[in-house]
Amino acid sequence: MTSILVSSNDKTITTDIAKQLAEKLDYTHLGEQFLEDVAQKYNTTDEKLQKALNWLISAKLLSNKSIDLHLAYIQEAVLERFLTDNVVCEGLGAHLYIKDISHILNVRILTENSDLKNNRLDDKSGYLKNFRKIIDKTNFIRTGSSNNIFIYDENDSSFYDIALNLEKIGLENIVDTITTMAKNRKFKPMTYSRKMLKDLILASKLRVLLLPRFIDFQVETKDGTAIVTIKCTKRQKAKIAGEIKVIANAIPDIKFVEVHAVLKLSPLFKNSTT
Amino acid sequence: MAVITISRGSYSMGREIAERVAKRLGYECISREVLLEASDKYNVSKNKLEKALQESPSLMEKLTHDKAHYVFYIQSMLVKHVAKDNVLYHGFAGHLFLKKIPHVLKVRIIADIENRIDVLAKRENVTKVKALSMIKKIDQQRRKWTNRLYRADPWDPVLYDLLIKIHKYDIDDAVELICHSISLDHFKTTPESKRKMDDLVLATRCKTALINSFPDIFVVSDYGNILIYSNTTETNVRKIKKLADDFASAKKTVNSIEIHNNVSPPDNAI
Repeated sequence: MTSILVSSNDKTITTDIAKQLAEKLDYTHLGEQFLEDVAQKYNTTDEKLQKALNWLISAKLLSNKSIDLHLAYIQEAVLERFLTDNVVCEGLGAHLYIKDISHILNVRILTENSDLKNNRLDDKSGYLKNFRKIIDKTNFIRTGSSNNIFIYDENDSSFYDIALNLEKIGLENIVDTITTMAKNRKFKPMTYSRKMLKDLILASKLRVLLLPRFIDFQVETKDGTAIVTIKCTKRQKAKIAGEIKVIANAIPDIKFVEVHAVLKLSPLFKNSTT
Repeated sequence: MAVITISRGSYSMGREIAERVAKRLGYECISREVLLEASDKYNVSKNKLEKALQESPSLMEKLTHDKAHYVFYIQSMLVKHVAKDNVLYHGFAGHLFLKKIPHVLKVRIIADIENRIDVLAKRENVTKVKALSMIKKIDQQRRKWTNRLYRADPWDPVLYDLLIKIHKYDIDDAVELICHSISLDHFKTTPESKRKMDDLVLATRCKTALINSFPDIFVVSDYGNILIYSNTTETNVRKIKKLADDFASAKKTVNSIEIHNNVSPPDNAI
């Protein structure tokens, strides 16, 4: 069955639509309440996970190790749920790290940012123009974080399978449209799409294990082979590769580990997690 | 009854989708026709008009306003067509030319970069590397054009009502989705939306009457009241008023003319 990712600039709208979709399709709604389960799984707190999610939408550019680790927890837990459940997911940043999985419908709801609406002033004052600049800047920073965690521009239309204007199409029609699309045979899980999802999950699991020890790396997995690209010198590579392989042994589905040492990480490649 | 604009990235099967939607709905399907008509009516070569739609104006062109004129000519032809209703336009900038008209469904068709490369490589018989370079150049040109003339990013989803990424759907699915969306109440022509379209037509005609003498004016019409925004001397303002009054006397639908000098025009001014 298709799973659905819903995102927009307005959290309330996203949650509302996701809940309605989940009810209509009899799917599991995965929202911020899922953080409790994640906290339990990784023996951490709701607050730290929430802080990591909030960092995604904050104006701060630099994250820290704790934020990276907690985002990795969220990523791994969310991806695993996609494998087992029919899910409508929102508010967990999933639209940023789940890409190119054909049975997952990635939907963007186009709406004016609610903060902008609530603080609308007479444009002659120039305040609105400046406020828009701040919102735009926030979105840019949110998507261009340090450590190359999420480098996709979430305002880039090519990022989504479909985008729908809320004001024009209306909430009810949006829910109907997405429900109809979810039943399209093109969004049925196929062997290859489930395999791609499993590869993503494996990569995220490895990332969770590597993060306490390393920073500045990317992980990609394919057919049981993990490819870790890490920022280090060639001199350090042998030692680091050894450590990574020991850590990766804890994941039974990873058969082989390749380690590449680079001086600078390049942008994310397909189906990798960082 | 409504109007559809389909904006398509290069090599994204948008044309085929547009033609099928138009056929299914019984709409008039227009694209390059507006350019050809503008070329005939305003006596400007097709090449110049095409260039005006593809390349952003250079510094010299900004001073002479040539490209802005050519873009306006094409816009005026498009407005003339869509005023009839039940029209589908696919091509450049329809979503920008008709942005404040409520019963216009603005659709964007996008394709994965890999698919676009495949289509272009096969069509032009070039390597994939070359195809990628060509696509990037086209995308960059379009981005620049939209930014320079409309201060917008063509990839910004807020410019559209519906975006469809084509590789996940059959063309039939995309057609179905568009036909379903256009049937929604919001896109039906109402007296209010018809009024806005009539105002746009009036503003376009007024600007056509003035543009040769005063290239950098902006015009908006609201309930038949024409507002002209200029940035010029008082002498020229009087000349604009005279020309506008001549236009108004020939058109019974004009209620009044106002000229605002050194005032920023609103978003919907053309």
